[in-house]
Amino acid sequence: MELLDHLAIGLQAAFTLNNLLYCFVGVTLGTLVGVLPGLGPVATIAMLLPITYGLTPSAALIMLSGIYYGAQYGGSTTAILVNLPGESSSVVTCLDGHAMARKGRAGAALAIAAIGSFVAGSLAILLLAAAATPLAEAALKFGPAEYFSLMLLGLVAAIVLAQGDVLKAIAMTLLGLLLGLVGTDVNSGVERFTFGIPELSDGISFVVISMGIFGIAEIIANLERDHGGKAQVARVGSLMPSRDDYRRSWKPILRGTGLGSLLGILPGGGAMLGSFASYMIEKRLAREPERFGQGAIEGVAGPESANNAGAQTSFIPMLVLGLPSNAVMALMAGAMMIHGIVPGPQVIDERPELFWGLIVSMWLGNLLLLVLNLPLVGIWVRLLAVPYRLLYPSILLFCCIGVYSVNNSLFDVLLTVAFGLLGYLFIKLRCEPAPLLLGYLLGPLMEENLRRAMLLSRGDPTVFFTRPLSLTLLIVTALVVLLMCSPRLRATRQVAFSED
Amino acid sequence: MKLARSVTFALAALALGITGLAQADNYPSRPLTLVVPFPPGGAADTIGRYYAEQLSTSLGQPVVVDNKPGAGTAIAAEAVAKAKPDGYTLSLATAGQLAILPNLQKDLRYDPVKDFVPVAVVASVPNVVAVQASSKIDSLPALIAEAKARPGALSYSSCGNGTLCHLSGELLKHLSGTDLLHVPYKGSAPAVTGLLGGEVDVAVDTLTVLAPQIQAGKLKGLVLTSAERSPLLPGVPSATEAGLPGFVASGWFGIVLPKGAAPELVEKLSGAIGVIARSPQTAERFAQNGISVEQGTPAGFAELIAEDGKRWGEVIEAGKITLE
Repeated sequence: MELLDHLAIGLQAAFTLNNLLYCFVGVTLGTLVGVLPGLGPVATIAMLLPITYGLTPSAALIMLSGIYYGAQYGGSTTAILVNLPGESSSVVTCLDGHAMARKGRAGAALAIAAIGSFVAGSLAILLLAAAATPLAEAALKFGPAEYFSLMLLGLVAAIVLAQGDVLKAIAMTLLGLLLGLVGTDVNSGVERFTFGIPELSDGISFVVISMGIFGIAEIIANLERDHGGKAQVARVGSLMPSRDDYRRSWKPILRGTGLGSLLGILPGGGAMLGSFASYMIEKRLAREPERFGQGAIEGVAGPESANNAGAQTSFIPMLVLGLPSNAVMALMAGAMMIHGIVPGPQVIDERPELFWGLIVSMWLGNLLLLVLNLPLVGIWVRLLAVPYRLLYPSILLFCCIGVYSVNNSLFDVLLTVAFGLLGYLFIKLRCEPAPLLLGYLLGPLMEENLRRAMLLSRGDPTVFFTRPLSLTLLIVTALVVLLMCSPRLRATRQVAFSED
Repeated sequence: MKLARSVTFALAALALGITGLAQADNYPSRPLTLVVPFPPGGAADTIGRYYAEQLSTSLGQPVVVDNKPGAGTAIAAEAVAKAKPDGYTLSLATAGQLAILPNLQKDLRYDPVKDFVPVAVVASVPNVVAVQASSKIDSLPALIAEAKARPGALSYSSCGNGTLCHLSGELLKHLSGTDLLHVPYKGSAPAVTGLLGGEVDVAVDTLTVLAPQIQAGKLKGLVLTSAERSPLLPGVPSATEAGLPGFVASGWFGIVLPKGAAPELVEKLSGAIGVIARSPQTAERFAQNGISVEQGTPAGFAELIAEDGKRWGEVIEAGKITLE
């Protein structure tokens, strides 16, 4: 068994006192930056990069990767407790996680998020260990045509599955697409909607939009609610999930793991897309979709599992091919370069202790995170008792620090405030921000890949139908549209509406 | 009144002169900032951090790296151009920022030549033209012949519009009289992924990015855009050997100060950088990434900026490349 040999190498590397210590440091730091809104793993890893000079390469990579997946655990905490995404990948967790907290079920939501993340992390790492190389090769087959069809499916699904008013959902998605247009067009190099402001030429950062629309707007909206000086939570309730919670959650956790793992491997992938996709699928599969947004535990279990699975599998392209697929992975490649390791396809063979040590440590890190997070649930929940005149100003402060740290840019902080005001307007107009974020995320990817596919096919649009994978995705998209028009779903929509 | 004003002016000038002198004497007396126009993690950041660390030791003051990514280096360039020329704000500047961008964007808010004082060029990286390992094209002449036989049928990926990867591809087209389809990507990693996945036929990117793929046997290097071979890829011919001697394109990195920096400061910094550049440890540190350590005078760097600016201006004009 080759895999066992490899795991033995990994165990040997991961179980040195030094590496265990840095794994612990990494996941603890990760949890912390995950909890703090705005402050994310990219900025943290960038800040810590110079410190890793003094460490062994294994210890450095183990610690830095711990920060990344640790943040996936921590991000859900803020989302559930105060309706602020601690991490951009936990935006969707706000929807049902915070609704659960309002019903006094914060403990259950936090616990299921941690358990889901752990299960997903463990399975994704197993996948990473067993099939990293073939998966990386397979992901290469995913070209621009396939990417476009996948994004189209995502966009259509976003509208189908939005709550309440379809028209508002379409409007918000379109607004998101428009926001995604801001910046330099990859294909022509032309700047769009930048109004001569250099800071806009790389587009609006996702952190800015999500912190503004979810974070700042939520704080403004809270000022006008009357809740006796405390964050708005009825009662704390049981800390642990009930048997019914587990029964409802195990399938979403497994589906979230699958989706998150797949989307994590794709070029440009990571933790975020998976969590959105998982939320949409769970809502579609649920027997009573109207429970979503009102505190459905499936809406926490699925996305939280998906984002952690995606965080783990997004290591695949970087470790196997040396090609980082997102900003965090670019930093990991940078950390390797600092230590004189050239990120590339040869790393697995030349430095097996590094590759397998990292993989084993990732599982250890996930275990540490579970142990760390479950007892913390009680402490986090008590945070809700902090008077909001203390809690919210400190959250605002951390939001500002976090947003600033992404690009070291004051402009981004100001833009976050502007999006905060816009988000408040959306709350007043009862427009859901989730479709906007999805449009913003998918739009640029969709356009980039549509135009690249068309460029490569020399303007022949049949390329989307002649590539089998792309065709399959388009057929699924068509089915989703048909479902939208089906009477049964329209009926459920009516029910959801009348309950409002 | 008039007298009072001139006296004030004279005093102010004197005070400035004195502080200026004092500055050069005990410079640096507080921490310095090195602005890097890219996010942490890439080649520019690695070079910037190494020099910041080494300069901290030799200058006796911490040198803090400040990553200011965005707008293809224009944000960092503008910030540095407006910074106080007191020698405490340094910037890592690239060929893209000083020699290419000014030719592409007419509305830049800084002047690449007038707004900066060049201190020293520190490193350079040539580009590589690569194809898939399984491709039937196995040399630059074969690529040119294939491109001539089927004009416009072959495509190449670049790390972005108006980047050195793109312009090197355009230079190749220009020199060889061929027509290749340019497919821009958002950075090097997706561009190389595009070639590995077979979306495009050719990739033009830096030696740093392509060497690991070529060493691992996933890609084939056809030519290095440099007059000499690289020890990193001894099997890949230089531009001259591949039969296209003019195909030389190198991405360089240098240290600049904001305009108005005193010559003594420039001299002191360029001296310190020279010592770092000559240390064998520096060359060794960068060799495996295909980055050559460069050294030279402030005047030599100024010449390089002007020469490359003119050269890329011609390629941009010949290829009718615009970002508008």
